[in-house]
Amino acid sequence: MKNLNQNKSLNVNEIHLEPDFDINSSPESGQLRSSIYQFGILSPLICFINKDRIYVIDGYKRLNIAADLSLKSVPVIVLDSSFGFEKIAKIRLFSLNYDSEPNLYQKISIFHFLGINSVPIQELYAWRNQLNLPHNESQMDKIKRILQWPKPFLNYINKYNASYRQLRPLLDKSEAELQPIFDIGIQLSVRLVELINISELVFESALNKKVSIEEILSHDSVRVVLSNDQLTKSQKTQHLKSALFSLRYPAISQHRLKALQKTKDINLPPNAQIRFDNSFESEGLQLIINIKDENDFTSALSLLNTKKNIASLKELLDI
Amino acid sequence: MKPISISHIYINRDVRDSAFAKNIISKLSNIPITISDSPPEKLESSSIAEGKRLLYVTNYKGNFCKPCPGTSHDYICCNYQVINETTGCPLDCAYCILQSYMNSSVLTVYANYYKILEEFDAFTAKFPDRIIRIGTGELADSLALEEYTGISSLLIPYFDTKHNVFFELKSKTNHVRHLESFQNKTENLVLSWSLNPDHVITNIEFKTASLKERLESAVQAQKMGFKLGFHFDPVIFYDEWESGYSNVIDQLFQHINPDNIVWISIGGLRFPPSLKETIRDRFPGTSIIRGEQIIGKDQKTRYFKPIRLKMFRSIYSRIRYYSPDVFTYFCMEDKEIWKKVMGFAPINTNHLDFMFAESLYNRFPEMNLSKPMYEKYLKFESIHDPAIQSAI
Repeated sequence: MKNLNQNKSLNVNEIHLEPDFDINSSPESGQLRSSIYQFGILSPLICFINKDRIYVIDGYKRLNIAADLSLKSVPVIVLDSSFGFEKIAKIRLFSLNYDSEPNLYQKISIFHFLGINSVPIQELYAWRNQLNLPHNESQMDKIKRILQWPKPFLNYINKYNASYRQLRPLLDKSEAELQPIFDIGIQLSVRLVELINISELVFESALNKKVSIEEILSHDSVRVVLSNDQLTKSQKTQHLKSALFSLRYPAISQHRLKALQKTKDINLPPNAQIRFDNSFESEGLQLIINIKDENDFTSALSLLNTKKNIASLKELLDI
Repeated sequence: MKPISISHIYINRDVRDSAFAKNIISKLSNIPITISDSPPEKLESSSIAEGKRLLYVTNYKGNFCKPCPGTSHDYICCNYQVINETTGCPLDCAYCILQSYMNSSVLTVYANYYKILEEFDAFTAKFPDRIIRIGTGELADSLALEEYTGISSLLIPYFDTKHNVFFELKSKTNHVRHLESFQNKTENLVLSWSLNPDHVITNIEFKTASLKERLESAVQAQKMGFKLGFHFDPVIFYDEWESGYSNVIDQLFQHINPDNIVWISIGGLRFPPSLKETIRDRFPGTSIIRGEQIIGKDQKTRYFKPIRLKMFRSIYSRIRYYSPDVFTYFCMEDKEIWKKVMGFAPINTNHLDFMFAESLYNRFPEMNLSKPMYEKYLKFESIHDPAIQSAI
């Protein structure tokens, strides 16, 4: 194939990571490291030359492992710039697509790479469609901000393969606003979906209360959770969500609390439980009684025969 | 309100010689025109804001008249019929469902509007004794483009010939002078305004008429002898909502005789959750998506029920303070809300439809409406009935 320089070995130090193409997604696998340790790199890295520098476009992990293992040289296929930036982008896209759809950072990186390398505007539109990026220019401007995000943010969204739909609520936020959110995500290993949920609770609470994000995150109820070393990461995440929910939805939270307190007033036998719609949109409540033997009947009857219980159930209905 | 601004007219070649298209061209003679065979690409690719300034004239291929999509799952609707004579609205309400509902945001009007008459004839033939409420304003403000299209003025004379029919034009504009020619000539036309406090209008209902302008238009319509409707929908929660809505109702009844009001609706803000991101993008900082909202039984975002109850009780009692019998109903609310606010609840959608009919029959004897028979209304196959829902 023209423009293809095969069967070449290059010193690891001669190969660079293209800054606008640094979009590795899945974590490095131990198997790959072990294989390279035992047998070296078996399939060549694909690189291209741009302005006298050689950049890797497929083989980021292999290159990193080779550097870690102090391998002197690695096999490469080097494409020169006449190969075409679009083809280079396609190779990168295919290598990313191997496991799943590229995440938003990967998509915008490819799009940006094409843009700065003077790919014609019509071709760029076609790429935007192919990458499922929005047509709306203001949205695209917001997405491009991701390219400026700090490395820990990018590692996080790569780890969870974050899509446009998922990241959309974060795109108009500044780095300073996002920093405490990503700190929570990284420190507590919060899954992306949960982190977006947490971020919405934080940002919306701050706007509703007309205070800063820092003030929300330093609110007593939140601080107590974040500083509690007795809790596991998962427990901390759940408690944090609950504390933030109370700040964002005070009326709903108070209503739930009131309902729970009323439920406690009812002298429930062990085989009974009360359930109600958490959003309080559905009318009424459910009284669930498990009956296995005669004793269960008796305790169920005692529940509904007590005036105090009936009064409490009525109160619960009227909340 | 500021005049509606159109920047470009696109006309489908099929309709360029129609009187409807020619009328629009003559009214907008300074605006550039493009004649095309198919919908121009610009119409598909334009942003929501751009689309609101582009007017496309074509033929509509589907049915114009449909049951109001309403909602389902325990929320009671009213069997209202809608006419989608225009799609896309030049007004810009932050909560507008059209932002996610339509494929294109371009203002599209249809030269084959006369099919509405055929469709409605066929519809009424099936229900000769029922009182039918039908209106435009579902996918666009009924009067926003009237100056250019004149479509309401084309429909009013047709509906005027129909017995047992109330034809409603719903608006947030002050565009009533185009209807002067119908003054005291039609008895089944209902001009309706959506009402909100000025705080909401200024911050959320962009490009619409102020409350004062809307009420002045209603007064004009009253003088012209038209029946009137008012919609407190969507009711929006904000810090001073109680005094805000109370003030609107006070102003309404200071200027409008309750005898001229055929109906007043109350409905809280509701929208599909997916619209939240669009609203946030288009109206950064808007508070309407940051209320204490839950996902309702119909999967739409709506205010937490105790908040709705508080707001609705306040609005309803204020309306009743001025008028003990003007027909007031909830749009898409459940029986609990009805009972706790009004003290009763319709059994279902067909029952509410019947209640409308009874009210109209009793209040407007001069119209010689057919006496509503409950059984006939119960037989109506509402699209909101579970059986029909599952078949759709």
